[in-house]
Amino acid sequence: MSDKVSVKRARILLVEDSEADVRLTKEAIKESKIDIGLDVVNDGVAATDFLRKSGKYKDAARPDIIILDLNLPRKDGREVLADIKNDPDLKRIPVVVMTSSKSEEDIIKCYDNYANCYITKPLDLGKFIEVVQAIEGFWFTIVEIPKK
Amino acid sequence: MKSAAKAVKDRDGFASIIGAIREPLLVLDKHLRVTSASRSFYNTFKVKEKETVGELIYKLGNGQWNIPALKKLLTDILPKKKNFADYEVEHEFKTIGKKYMILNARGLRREGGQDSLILLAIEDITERKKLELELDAAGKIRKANEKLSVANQTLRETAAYLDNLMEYASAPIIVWNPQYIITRFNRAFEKLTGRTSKTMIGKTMNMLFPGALAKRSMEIIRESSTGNRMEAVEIEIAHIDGKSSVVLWNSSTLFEKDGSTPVATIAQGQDITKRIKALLALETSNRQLAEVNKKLLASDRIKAANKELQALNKQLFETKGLMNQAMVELERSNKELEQFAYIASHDLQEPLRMVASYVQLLEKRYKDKLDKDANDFIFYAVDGAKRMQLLINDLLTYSRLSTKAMPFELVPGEVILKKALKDLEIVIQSSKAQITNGILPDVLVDSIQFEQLLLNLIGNALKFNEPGKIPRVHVSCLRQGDDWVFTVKDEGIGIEKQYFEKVFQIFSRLHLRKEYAGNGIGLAVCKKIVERHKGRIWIESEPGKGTAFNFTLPVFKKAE
Repeated sequence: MSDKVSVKRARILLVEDSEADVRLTKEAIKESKIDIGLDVVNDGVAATDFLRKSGKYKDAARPDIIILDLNLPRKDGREVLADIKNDPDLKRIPVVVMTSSKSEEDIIKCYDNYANCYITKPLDLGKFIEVVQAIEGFWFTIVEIPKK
Repeated sequence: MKSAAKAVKDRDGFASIIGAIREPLLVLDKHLRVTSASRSFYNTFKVKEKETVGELIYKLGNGQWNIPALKKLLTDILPKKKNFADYEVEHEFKTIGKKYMILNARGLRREGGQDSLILLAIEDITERKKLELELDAAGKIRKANEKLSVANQTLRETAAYLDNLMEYASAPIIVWNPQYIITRFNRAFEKLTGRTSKTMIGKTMNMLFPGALAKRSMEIIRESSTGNRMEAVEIEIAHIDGKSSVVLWNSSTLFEKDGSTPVATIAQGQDITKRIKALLALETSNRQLAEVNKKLLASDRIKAANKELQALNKQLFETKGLMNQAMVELERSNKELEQFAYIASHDLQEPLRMVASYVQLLEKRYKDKLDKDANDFIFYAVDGAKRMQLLINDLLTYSRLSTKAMPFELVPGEVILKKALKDLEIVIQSSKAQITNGILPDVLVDSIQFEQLLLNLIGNALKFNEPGKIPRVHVSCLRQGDDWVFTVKDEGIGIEKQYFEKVFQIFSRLHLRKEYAGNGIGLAVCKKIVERHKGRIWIESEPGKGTAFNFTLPVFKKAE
């Protein structure tokens, strides 16, 4: 176990339907120097419920950043993005779209809907780990995030 | 003696008779000598006896009676026994003036052998004659007067007639004097100008014409007045209310007997305003007619052309229908390919990523805890997965050559080359490769695909190099007829002639994976791109001496 930088526990909401990808992400985060609290939801409806603290998510913690996959069951990730960014309460939370789609159209649409950034999931494990760590590094140690 | 005395006595008795006759009477002998005359003769002709008796008749009064016609008559009386009577004679006597006389003369025989005598009775009818003449003259005068008054009457009637003629003539008539003052102005002219003759007579001619034209019109008037008789001209005459009429003007000048002093000029105008208007209208309508004709002609041609077009259109429509069908098919097929490509890229890659990632995770986590065999197995598994990913990517690229094809644009070849080299930057740097190029033309291409083409060829040139040798690549272009011939030449390992065709097949490889990486799709992609651009691609090579890949592109020609 490496020394963790004493930073307040950073919270990530991961919206991802692939269990395999969830596990990969978890494994990648394990390698991180930062103390990260990870919440996971598997579909779009659950995502918005979680963020609005409704239903079974009434005690949910507000995430510092959201990692959002696009292809989700029930409610599509693109819709979730629009919901978040149109909600005055939620729009400040940085949304990192991480998807296997390389489509230029998707990239454009996401930025048009105010995604903070768009990342294509790397095919290579090593790169995948780098990306996750880069996300953490960037958003939690370099960038300022509003407290509320 | 007796006879002589008797003669004297007779003669005296005779003479006294003669003397007593109231009319002038002359007695002449056969020699036409006056033997005696009546007292009346002496009184009438104012001669004395002594001047008369014994004188020849023609010598009387200094030859006053010398009348040749009379002489002839008298001479003939006795010999020819030709008496004459009522011989009228007039004669201008020097002393008494003109006298009109009737002469009667006869021969007188005497008895006793005495000579015959001529009795010449003279009746002085001068007074009577004068009276006669006067009467005659008076009569003549009267007749002349009658004639004159008739003539005058005729004249008056004619004048009135002409006057009326002029006055009521349908043509406007005007007369003016040499000072260009109007002297006659008929009804028709009154109507034409809206002015009365009363107001116009005595005024100058220029009153007739509209202000601006007055000068020129007066010139025309002058020319006609001085005898340069002109053919009828068109003149504008002003109406008092402002509008004007166009008139055909015809004038003629009367001269004095000398033939050069003008007395007056008469002019007649024919109102041709309507005619002119009609003429203009006719011209206009003629023009319009010509226009309509032109249009009709054009429209006829258009109709004919339209018929042809319709026939052509029908054909086109049918062809288009067929084409549309083909297009629909093509689109459908393209869409299918798109979907396939998408599936290939996304859905196929996902599980592949899982396989690769987790196997790698295994490797990472348990490398220390596994034996060499296990590690080898993991290695092959991971390697396989990675290769599959690359393959799928290449397939996607290959399929997109047609589904994501862009329209051609004219770009400088050099610019695309630079882009391709940038993509190869890392490889170039790490291999310290030297890449050179000649002048490259502007080309009409799908720039993304052209970049891919160069990338693949140069990439290959760099890859298929003797290990340890610095790769040298040269990109050049020259013109052959209507084609650009591009060459990518390397100093690499070369290709055997038997494989010159095979290498362009998809997935074909000439080497082991561990020697040279790659899926064998690069050249298939190149071939497909070159063919899409209507070119051809071929190889020149010798094993160990390097390879030249040549491809053609049609030269872009601007439409004239």
